[in-house]
Amino acid sequence: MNRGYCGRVDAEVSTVPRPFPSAVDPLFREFVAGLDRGVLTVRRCAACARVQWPPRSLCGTCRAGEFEPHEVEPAGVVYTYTVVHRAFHPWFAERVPYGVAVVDVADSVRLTGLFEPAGALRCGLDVRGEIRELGGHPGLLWTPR
Amino acid sequence: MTARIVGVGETEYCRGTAKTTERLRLEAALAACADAGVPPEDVDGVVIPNGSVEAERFVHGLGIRDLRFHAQSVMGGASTVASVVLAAGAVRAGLASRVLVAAGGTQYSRANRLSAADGGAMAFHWPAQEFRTHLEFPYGISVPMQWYSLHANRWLAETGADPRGLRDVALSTRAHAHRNAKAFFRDRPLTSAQYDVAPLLVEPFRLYDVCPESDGAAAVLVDRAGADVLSDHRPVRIAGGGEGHADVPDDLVSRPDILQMGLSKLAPRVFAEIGVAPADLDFAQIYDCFTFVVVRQLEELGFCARGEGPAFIAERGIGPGGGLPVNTHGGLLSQAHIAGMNHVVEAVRQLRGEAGEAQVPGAATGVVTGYGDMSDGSMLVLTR
Repeated sequence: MNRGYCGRVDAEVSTVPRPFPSAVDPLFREFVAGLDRGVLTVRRCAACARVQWPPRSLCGTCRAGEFEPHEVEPAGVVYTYTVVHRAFHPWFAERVPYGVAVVDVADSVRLTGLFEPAGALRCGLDVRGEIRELGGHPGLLWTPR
Repeated sequence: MTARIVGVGETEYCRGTAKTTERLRLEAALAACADAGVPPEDVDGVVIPNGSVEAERFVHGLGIRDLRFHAQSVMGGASTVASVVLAAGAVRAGLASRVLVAAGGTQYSRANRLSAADGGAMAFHWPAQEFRTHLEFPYGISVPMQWYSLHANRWLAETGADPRGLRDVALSTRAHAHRNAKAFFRDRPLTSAQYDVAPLLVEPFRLYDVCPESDGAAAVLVDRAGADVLSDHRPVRIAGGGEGHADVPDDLVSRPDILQMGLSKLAPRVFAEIGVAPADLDFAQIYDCFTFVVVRQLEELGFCARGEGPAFIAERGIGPGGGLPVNTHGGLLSQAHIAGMNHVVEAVRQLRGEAGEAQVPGAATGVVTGYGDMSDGSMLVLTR
């Protein structure tokens, strides 16, 4: 596929902020607080220590319902990806084509984030992540390692 | 199952209507009753895909005297076929004797379209809404074509599948549409060259890989085998069916194998239950919100292995006169997006021998699938 372009997620053109949850769901409180501090915080079952992501009411292994925060390194391998050419939100419309990577990090956790340069995206790519201000909110940006 | 479809009905399929979703579904429902020769007031059950019209509205609209049963199925595009399965189960269990299922509505004319560029799709309700709002909307993933592209890109990389299979589906579906009077894209040719130069929307999907939004509704009436047949139309037997859910059914990204879908579990189960194999099918009406999901569903139905769908399509042929005609009405892609009820109606017409120019000679057994939300699946096997 021809990829003669390079998406720029930090183009300074938008007055519309990037989508972000207006109210933080209780299951995501530590994750969102972690983004504010620049770290990726998933969670771990307090009973069996199994890492769980995305967060749910009960542990998928032992069915206990108490969890503790668990930090993961922002690095991994692209499991899958997409490159969006037709956007469905104004902030993204100013950045097409933009890349999105779904990355296998440690402990069977997969994390979705923006990726640049979009033209370099492929499954199996080694990437590192950075949490930075993107469109008025902290966000995860993956780049090739 | 000892249930059957005795009536089918459709409204006009168009883009632009002043009618409401309720009105369109009631009109389709009345048409299905008329087709079956059943007085609408004798309907005693309704199943409502995605719950978008209340059962009570059918009581008034059809004049139902004694509503004994209603249910909803909520699986996005898989709900329609799953609702017909529920209707069959209800008549078989004796919960009701004549159950109506109507689907479709004002998908094109409503205020907030799924395709809106202003972020409107983020106001839709999706499974595991908090995953969407915290993990995906912030990264510009908010509509089905984007979710399914994550599946498609992994499928292409993992299996080495030939991406030209998507184009084959787009062109063959359009070829079928030219034989169907209700098809929105009838008489509008689609060539390989047009497909190839159409805009890329999300990799690997181009414009003609994605179905349009439509206005219109369709309905079927289900009753129990052995009841009196009140019309000249041959009843179509519901030989089997069901619904299926992938592992981690509410989230594609954290599903260990993103290629797995509801149909992966459902199809082998249904085929084994009723002693039918893919090779026994004379046609397939496959939920086709995207060309890609047609290829993948043919694989998961067991016609071929993962990654071999494009080669299967090229060799067997799924267009008019092909070895396995798929979406003989033009599907969602080229007829209209009637939530897949148009697929059920077309399957019934094929098995009655009333499909006109699109008739598959001798059609005796066919499959209809539904596909929705985060790859939920549903399926019906129908026989003459």
